[in-house]
Amino acid sequence: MLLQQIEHWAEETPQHPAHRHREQSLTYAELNAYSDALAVWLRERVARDYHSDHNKHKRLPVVIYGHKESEMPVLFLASVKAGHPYIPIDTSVPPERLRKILETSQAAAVLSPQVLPAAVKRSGFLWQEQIHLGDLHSLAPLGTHRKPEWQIGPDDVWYIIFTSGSTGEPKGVQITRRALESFVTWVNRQYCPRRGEEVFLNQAPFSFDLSVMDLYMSLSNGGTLWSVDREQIANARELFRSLAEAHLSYWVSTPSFAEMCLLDPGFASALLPDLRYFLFCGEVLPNDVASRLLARFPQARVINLYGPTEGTVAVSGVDISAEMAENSEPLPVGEHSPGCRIYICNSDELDTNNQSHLETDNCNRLEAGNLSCLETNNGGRLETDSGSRLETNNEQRLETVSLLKPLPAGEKGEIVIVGPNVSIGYLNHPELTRQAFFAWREEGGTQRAYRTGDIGCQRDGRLFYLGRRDFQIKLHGYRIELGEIEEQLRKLPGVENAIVLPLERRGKTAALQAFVKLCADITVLSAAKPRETTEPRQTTEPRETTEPHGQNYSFDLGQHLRKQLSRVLPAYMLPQRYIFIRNIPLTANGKVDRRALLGGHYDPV
Amino acid sequence: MHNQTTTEPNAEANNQAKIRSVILSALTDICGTAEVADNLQLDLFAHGLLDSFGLVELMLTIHEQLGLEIAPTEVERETWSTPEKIIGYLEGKAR
Repeated sequence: MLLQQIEHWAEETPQHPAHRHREQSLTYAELNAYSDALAVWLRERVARDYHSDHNKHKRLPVVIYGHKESEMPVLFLASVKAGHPYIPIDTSVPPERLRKILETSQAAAVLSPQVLPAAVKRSGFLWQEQIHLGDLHSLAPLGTHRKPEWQIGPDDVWYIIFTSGSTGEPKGVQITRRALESFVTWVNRQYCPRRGEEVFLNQAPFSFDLSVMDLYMSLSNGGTLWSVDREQIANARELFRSLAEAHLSYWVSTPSFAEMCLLDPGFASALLPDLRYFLFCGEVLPNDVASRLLARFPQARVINLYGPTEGTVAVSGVDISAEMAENSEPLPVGEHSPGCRIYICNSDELDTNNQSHLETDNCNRLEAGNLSCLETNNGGRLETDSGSRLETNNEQRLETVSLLKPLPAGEKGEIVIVGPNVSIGYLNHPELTRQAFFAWREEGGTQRAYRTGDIGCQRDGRLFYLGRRDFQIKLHGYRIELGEIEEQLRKLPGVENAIVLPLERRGKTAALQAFVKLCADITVLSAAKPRETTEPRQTTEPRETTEPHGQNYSFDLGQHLRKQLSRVLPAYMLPQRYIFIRNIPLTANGKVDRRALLGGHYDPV
Repeated sequence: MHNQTTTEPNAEANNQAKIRSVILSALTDICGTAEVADNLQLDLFAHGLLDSFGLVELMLTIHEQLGLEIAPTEVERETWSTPEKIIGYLEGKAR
């Protein structure tokens, strides 16, 4: 069990650093003692605050709001030990989005090493605590702490990660202890960290599930997690100074981040002489990036991993050889798989099945004769009798698909993940859960299944990722539902309709572009949009006035929309380019013609 | 000798014009707006027009089109925050 492994390292190597961030360092002894003490305090505080209805509130999530502070792992483990799933929220998230997540999750509390934004503090619907290492030390002077009874069963939720949602709101993916431990066991077995010796790079924010890999691989093996923050990442000189000091042995990042580092000739084995593994996940690994890494770091292996947040970080991985990287074929994303199975299915059949079980649901879910179901709850009970239902501790029911047949090897289709790593669904969104998750009957029992929306195929025992079947994209590793941005744009005054599309440069998604149709009454926008630039301007040519429909006017308007959006969306979801059009082009079927927009076939304002 | 003193400033002026043209064209493409060519003091980072990944694209373009190799560790973000600063930095490097 993960908590026991971490406790083992606190006893075995108490002074070994568990987490380092800049000058801050947290030892294993501190991690264990502080998280124990904080868990006891948290449980008592929740019991006091929800005195009249303790049972109802005892498993409510706790939001951990911060960036890379050394306290962060203490706050995560304290929540888990107290029996509360944690929701990591990065400080780059705008206050409005944070407030929305707090509402959706019905969180019991917010713990943070930082001051919360005023808008959240004023909300008054939950309590917040600012917790520093100093507070933790006074809460639990080392050697005197009380050890709580851990209250997390195998099917209880360990963490919830919020991802972009196509309906316009972020959705929380719930990952159980069983799923997390299954994932950690697999990556440890596959990529063999030496116990007590390794240093893992933490590049991704803790709110991005890629960080789950470096955090728990490191803590389960008595390693050191070496965090770099966004200021360091934005300043290459500072970043390289930190990397040189780290003695990293495991590099865990998105391919985009490594590609950025590769631009510097100093990014080579002399900088990272102890590096043994590059573990990549979150987006497509370009062949040339793999090839250059293998050439510059001959002592390291390059691993390409694949998996959605709903499958607990990754469900497959493949060791990329120089030969594979030099090939013109896209790189495979997997050949190994833990307890999970990966199937390629016909999307239309999945849709039909989804539709049929939704219709069944409308009639009487419990009498669905040809559907059998699985039930998981806190005790991990499994019931597969025909006609019963699958119900999680979040009261979300899944139906078994008994008729689906995976496509044969070589055929292209939708990737379906089946097994213990699959999430129990989206927090407080049963309908969204039913659309994406279902139960899969196979020999020996029934397992949870998730339809990824990813298109792929299997060849020679390897999995290949071929794109998406919907409007979800990956930008520098971040998963983005374009529909969520469109929804937020449409809510802005003066915007009648908006379509957001990826902007490709150098053969990859480089940014986002928004095609915006304004309301007929443009004065709505003019009134809302004063010129904000106050600096004196030096121009190459005389500048035109910002007349409506002029080039400068468009720029100002785009900047105005971007600023409005930044109040509700994180920076990585903000379109960079705004194109104002008279009408949204439609196909013969009346759908938005995205190809026309991408091809420049539109009527600009 | 006489010829040399007249061609050198010309060569430098040509070089500067090329740098300016390449950078403004690249920034217009990467930032998605001609405003960058119109307002050389526009703060590219503050307006969300350029980020670390955009900077990487710009460096690749500079290498391809101007033959100048820029390492990310060589530049501070502040020294590359406006079109004018980028052009000035490259003109200095090309001398």
